[in-house]
Amino acid sequence: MTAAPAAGTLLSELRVGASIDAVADATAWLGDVAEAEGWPDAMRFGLELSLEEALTNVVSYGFAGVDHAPDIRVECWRMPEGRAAVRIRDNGVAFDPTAIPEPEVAASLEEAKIGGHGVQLMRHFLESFSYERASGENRLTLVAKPAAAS
Amino acid sequence: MKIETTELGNHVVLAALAGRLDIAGAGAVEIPFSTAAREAHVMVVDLGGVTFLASIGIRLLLANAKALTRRDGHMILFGCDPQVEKVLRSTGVDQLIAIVATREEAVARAGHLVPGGGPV
Repeated sequence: MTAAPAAGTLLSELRVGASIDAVADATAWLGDVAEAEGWPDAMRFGLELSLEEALTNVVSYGFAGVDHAPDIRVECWRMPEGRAAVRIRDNGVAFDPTAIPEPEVAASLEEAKIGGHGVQLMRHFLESFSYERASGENRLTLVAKPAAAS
Repeated sequence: MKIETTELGNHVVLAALAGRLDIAGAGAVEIPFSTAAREAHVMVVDLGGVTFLASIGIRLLLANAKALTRRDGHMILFGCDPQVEKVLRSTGVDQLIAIVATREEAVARAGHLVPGGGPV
């Protein structure tokens, strides 16, 4: 899957401010969509979690040193076979979360690094996530399926 | 996001968290949670009321577990919702912080970790 989830139906779209507070607004918005669509709990959890992780990165790092106005949009798509997709588009600094390597598991708490778990969680909770940079935008598509919780 | 801390005796502190441990929730409980951890030898954390756990919440748990370990202390988690437990396992937190099913198991384990016996 690339940019537009071609096989899907756009359910809702939200413009998001470039602030940490906007992350909670966006996950609440997605929760409303989940409710309306009757998503299974595990699928809802996975998409809310992945949206939180991805948006936190965008609002925290995407606009440092950028002098144009932030434009961040989140779309939710109904996909075939009970799947759902969330697409995040932002005009911040190019950043491909799918290229982040899996962190090493620390042998002990003393050695454990605090942080860096966001992308790891997206990998575990989603069926797929894909990235492209086009027209000066980051476009990250998160796809979950009903049975993806196992 | 709510936090309730209870001193169980013998430097075992119970912290019960409830709500969404997301970026807003973690910010709301960070100070009371860290304060309770500093006063504990064993911190027993009730995640029974936690319906959502994001990486910021993992950060909160790991940072405080790490601080406890530096003082030869311990953290024990219990009562995880299945999705919350999946978050902990998929990030390897279960390899670093003990996770048990019930409060009874958590308190019993805490009892073995404090010098001179366990809490009441």
